[in-house]
Amino acid sequence: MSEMQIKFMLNGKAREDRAPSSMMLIDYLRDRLDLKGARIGCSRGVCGACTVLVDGKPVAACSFFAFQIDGKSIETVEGLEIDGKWNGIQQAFADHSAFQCGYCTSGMMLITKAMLEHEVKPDRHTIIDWISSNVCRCSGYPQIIAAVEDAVARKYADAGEAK
Amino acid sequence: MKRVDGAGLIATSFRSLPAFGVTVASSIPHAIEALAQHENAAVLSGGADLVAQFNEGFAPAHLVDISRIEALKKITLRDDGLMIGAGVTHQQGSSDPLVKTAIPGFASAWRKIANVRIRMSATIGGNLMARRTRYEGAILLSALAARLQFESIGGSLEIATGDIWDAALPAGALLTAIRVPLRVGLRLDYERSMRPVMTQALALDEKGHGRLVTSTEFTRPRILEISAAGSYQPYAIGDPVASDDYLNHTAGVFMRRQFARLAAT
Repeated sequence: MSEMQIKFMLNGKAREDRAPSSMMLIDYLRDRLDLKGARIGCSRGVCGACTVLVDGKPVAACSFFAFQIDGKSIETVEGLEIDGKWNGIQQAFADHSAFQCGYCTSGMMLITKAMLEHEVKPDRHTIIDWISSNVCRCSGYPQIIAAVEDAVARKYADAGEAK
Repeated sequence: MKRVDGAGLIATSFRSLPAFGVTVASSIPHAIEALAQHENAAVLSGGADLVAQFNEGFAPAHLVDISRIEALKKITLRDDGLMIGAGVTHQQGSSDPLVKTAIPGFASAWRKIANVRIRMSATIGGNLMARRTRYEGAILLSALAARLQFESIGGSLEIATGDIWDAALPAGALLTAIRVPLRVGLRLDYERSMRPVMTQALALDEKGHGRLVTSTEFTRPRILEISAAGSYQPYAIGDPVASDDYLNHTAGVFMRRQFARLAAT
């Protein structure tokens, strides 16, 4: 099998490796790097359980080849913590119990992070538009929406603006 | 195309993907050259549909990655129309100021495709070349009488969007751009409240001439030249799920609403 050379940033750290041409990013992260946060769900880019950020954009890692990350910056749920502490998104999800089985949680938190980087003060409609990219099999959407609204409020509170 | 043995109705896993070579193309000529060199090659752009095809048994021997070709990601306005690069993502295209101003209603219709995450990766070229009846790019672009531009080692070719299903393209042809001819007052209305049962796009110009495109989940878009004075013309749809009577009735109701909405713009 053809191997590809890849150089990339993973959660802020530079890495260099080789990966088979037909290896998907989800398998590379989970099996080669032992990063189990991104989950395998539908395996065809629909459910979003495998969402990671590539250059800040949410990507289904089950539908993205590992070789495609060459020269790019990858963020996984393992990179959300700051100095060993939960960031605002993680804290909001915990405070609102925005998970039941937890299978979708890493993808939901990363789609939230992408939204916060692409949208200015997203309202409820915008939040629903974004998290509709991912599926919660337990249908815990009210709690997830509440958590994302809280994450938005935390971001702008942290930035010194009124909630 | 070669198919993996046993990959019938049950999807294979991406873990069973056969080995293939890869060319990461740096330019359109580079991509065309690679496609010409490899007989059983597939094109990777956004990847949203290609991996689904792999799971359905598609097994190319080589992959030409065109996702890094900047020339395919441009949207420009020319004398002969609005030019949309095949590598433009749904997110980029539906938020582009040129698209928004050149054809009212087009950007908002485009934005309805898929979801935010998929729109940020999936490209309009991939949407068309997947040739899936449920994908909406061909519906919108057929209504706008858009033309698809291909490049191959043998030269250039332009076809109507509606011909994407049956056109005999040269081996290794690469969709590079979509040309949307602009007419005075051209605007679009897209009705998808019944999706996936059916959707319908209506594009009209200043004189009230245009196209009505009706599509269902399982049937190719029907393109009807139409004028404001025209009435809906039923056709033999042949959808396996809903009856012709039901679908044609719905399409007629949609059309009246769409004419009313466009008249108000």
